[in-house]
Amino acid sequence: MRVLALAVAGGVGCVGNAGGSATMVPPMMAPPLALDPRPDEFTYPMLPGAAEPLVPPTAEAPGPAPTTARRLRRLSNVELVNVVNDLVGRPLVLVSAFLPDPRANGFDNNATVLGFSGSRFDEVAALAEQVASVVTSAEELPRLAPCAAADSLVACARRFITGFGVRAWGRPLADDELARLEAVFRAGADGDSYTAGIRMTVEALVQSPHFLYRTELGPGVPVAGALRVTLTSHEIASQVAFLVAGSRPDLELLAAARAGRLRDAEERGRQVRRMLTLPAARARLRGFLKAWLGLDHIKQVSKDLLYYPEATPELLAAMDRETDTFVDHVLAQDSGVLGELFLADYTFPGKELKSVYGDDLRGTSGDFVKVALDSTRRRGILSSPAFLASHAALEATSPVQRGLLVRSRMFCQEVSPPPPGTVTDPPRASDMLITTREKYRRHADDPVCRACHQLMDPIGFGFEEFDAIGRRRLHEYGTVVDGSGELKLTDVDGAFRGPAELALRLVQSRMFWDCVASQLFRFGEGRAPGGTDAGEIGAVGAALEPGTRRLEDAVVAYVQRPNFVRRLAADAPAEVAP
Amino acid sequence: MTQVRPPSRRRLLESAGAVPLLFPFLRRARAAEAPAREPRLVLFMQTNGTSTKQFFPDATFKSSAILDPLLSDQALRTRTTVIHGLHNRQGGAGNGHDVGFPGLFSGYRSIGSFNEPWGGGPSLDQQLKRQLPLTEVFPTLNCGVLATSAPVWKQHRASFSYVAARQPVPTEANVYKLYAMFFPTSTSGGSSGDSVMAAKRRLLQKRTVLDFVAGDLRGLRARVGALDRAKLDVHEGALREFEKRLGATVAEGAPAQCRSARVPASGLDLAVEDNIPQLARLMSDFVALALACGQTRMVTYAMGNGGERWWYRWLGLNENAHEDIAHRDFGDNQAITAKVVKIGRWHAEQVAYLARALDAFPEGDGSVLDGSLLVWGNEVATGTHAMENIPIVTIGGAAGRLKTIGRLVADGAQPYHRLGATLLNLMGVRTAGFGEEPACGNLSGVDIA
Repeated sequence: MRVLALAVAGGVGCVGNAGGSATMVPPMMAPPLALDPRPDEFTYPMLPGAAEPLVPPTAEAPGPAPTTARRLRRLSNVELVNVVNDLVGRPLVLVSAFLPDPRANGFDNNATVLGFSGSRFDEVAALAEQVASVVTSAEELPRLAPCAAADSLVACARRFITGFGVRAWGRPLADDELARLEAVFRAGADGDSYTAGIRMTVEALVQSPHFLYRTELGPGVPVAGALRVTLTSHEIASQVAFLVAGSRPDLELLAAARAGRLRDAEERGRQVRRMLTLPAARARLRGFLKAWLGLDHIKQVSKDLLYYPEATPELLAAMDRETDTFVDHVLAQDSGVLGELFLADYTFPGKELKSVYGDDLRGTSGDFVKVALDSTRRRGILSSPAFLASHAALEATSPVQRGLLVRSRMFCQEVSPPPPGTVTDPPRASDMLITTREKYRRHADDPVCRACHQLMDPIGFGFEEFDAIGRRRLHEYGTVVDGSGELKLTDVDGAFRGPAELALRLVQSRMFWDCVASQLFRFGEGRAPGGTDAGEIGAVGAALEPGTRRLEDAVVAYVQRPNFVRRLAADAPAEVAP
Repeated sequence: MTQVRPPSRRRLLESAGAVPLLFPFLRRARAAEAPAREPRLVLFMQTNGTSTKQFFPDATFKSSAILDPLLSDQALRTRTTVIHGLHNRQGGAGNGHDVGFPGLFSGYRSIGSFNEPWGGGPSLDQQLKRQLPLTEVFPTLNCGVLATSAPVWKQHRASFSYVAARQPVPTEANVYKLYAMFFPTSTSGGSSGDSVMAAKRRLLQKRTVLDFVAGDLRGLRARVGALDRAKLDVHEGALREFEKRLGATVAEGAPAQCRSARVPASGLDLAVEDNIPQLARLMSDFVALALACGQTRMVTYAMGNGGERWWYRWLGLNENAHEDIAHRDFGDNQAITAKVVKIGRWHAEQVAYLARALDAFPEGDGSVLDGSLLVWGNEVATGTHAMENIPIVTIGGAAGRLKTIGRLVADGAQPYHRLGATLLNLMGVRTAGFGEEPACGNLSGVDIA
């Protein structure tokens, strides 16, 4: 990130159970049933227990140094839930109330920030019990861990562990892992029951770090002096699967990994294009876009009900659903043309939003169906109530927040923080019956404030014709609102009026598209880009070709980079910024 | 910081004994003769600053507008120390709330961007957890009252306990869940013969599963770099704590209340701000019980998220205390300051309530309060983000180690790091510094044994 503006010193005051006691499961002759609602899904395949052979570091292909170090990534809450649901084949209502994941730059998958804690261990233990009780329930056990009367219990358990383990950990289990899990099963089956043994193995699989983290380590331990490692085939499969679907690899990816095909960039691209048609991928990419644009907490946004009595939970929920519907529409159209996200002259408002849009709609708003917008007033996501309400204060708009969001998330430029001791909250609306723009006048008049605020406020002023819940407004306290904004220090500098005109400028900006690539890279890598990542980000950005700018192309370009499958053998220095 | 006090004779005795394989798995009884025990620590965090003029008492230590709930009670006043003159001038990422909330009890500057500043290093409780030989089933308890009408997506302000830079320990605000975790018998009425056998078997099965998980953690640890090793160490530490808790019951010599603990039936909505007064009482009762029963040694207690936006309707106020009150308290508007005083007094009442709850448990010649140190801090000094004269109050004697009690300490301006250094020394970790200031020394004007 480029840091703009000088750090300024001094100057205070810019405006400031388990499944019963059954011991034997009735014989099961039929193969397991398909149980996952997702169309590509499958039952647990019988895969060999042996892990893939180690690739000696000497077999390393030459090429540019990787930019990410070998590491572990704790699954985010969202990812963990996806993996569990895929594993049991249906969405569970989890007993565990995981505390929220910390976010970095909007994303909840930052590898540095995601750590472990005592309370998380408790939640995971409860989750493991829940998954185990589902697997060992009377309905599921015959399907997931069948055991014919003629079979030995241990043989049945081994078969279960092998198949279930692949899904749980996203890779075949090594022989010693199988042996240890078999010992866990015996400890449960001896003196208790087959069911108890299966329950314990499920608990062990779910509580294992191999379930709770994903590895980007390559095979074994790097030999002394090694500079880089190539990820194992199954690690590559996980990389693809978590990026695109937010979960562990599906059957096709596992098969490709087992065949060693994922070291081939073309195959990775093919897998991504296949997976992007799945609902799970739609949800994942929607999540990426919403986190990037700061839209994923709209339902938790609170407004001062004195000024915005309309801001009910129902209204906020309608904003969220409109956003989801619109984003899904864009992603489904022609593989996700990103320009459409910003330029669309239509939206999908629910009837709750009718009063917010007023006469900006060129049609009747139904129940989240497509309606044309007056495109001189509103276009795309920047004009959406969700965006405008998310990036505003409790009782008023916030030109600073809106400007900073555009500056940092759309141009990837960081603005220096205010000097220590600055009260950074603006005066309340009730303080002065003057327009919001006037309230921020000191930011322009005081040179100390201006140094940084000239980079934010003038952009935010361009949104002033929209209030803190996204309604268009012409007056504030009897004064006509001035909705003119200005971009500076970009490659599309100049005056604009309203988010629709801003959007038209943004899509012309190379800096903006490079920033989109940078955000995708950040989401994929789970870390802040550094100086050595410019080449990688450039390659992703290059795939966002003018005329199309398809998200799918960028994702494919990203997974096809050699960097995607390789890691530095040594620890990375601690990040400067997440 | 280096040296650790030798473990007490009692602890040596405890650690020498094997865990008896009987159900219920009784933890070894604490020695009845009650030798000098290791002090307990509670770090209580208020946010949004105070009115420093109305907070600090004069040298007579008789009263102050805000501290009256403590100073007007002789039993508490004689065990209270008010520390004047601490400053936090180190800066860091974000604004005063972001600097002070994770900084005060860690000694590290916040790091990251203005919008997402994180704590820059481990907090006092986590530093101690690593350095002290702790036997409690929950060495640290990280709790708080976080109900709010303005949901916080600034998650960097939801906890002031950090394992390491950028790795906050979540704040548990669900007091009902805490009872169930800390006092497993609090959710049921005891066990009959049959279920005793089943429970014993289940316990052994759980231990087997944990052994497997520990094996995986070890195997993975051997393959990762230093940064990930540190994370897996935290994970394994959590496993060990969980394991220790399995089947653990309250110690033999512990107060009777420990065995009769029950999950409160109130069923309050944890997200409703108007429930805060009741939630704070419940949490303080729980904290006192957990400490007195030897279930935990160190507590972080967040009274709200950093820069909290409570409306204090229970005090007859109805304004956003962050923007409408704290930020406007420049000291020149009596009406505003009166509201800050009102809020400050309410916090003093909460601290006094917790102190009395600790004092209600006798221990040795005194009470659990005497064997503890309750520290009440604030992320900033004033609502306008001043960082001079950060209001600090301690109550309790830290098991006789804190000699300066019952008075105001005003020994000139001092860096806030000295508070952390002093607390580390009081807790038994010999150190000359704290956080980013390895040689700041102890608080001037405070005597410790």
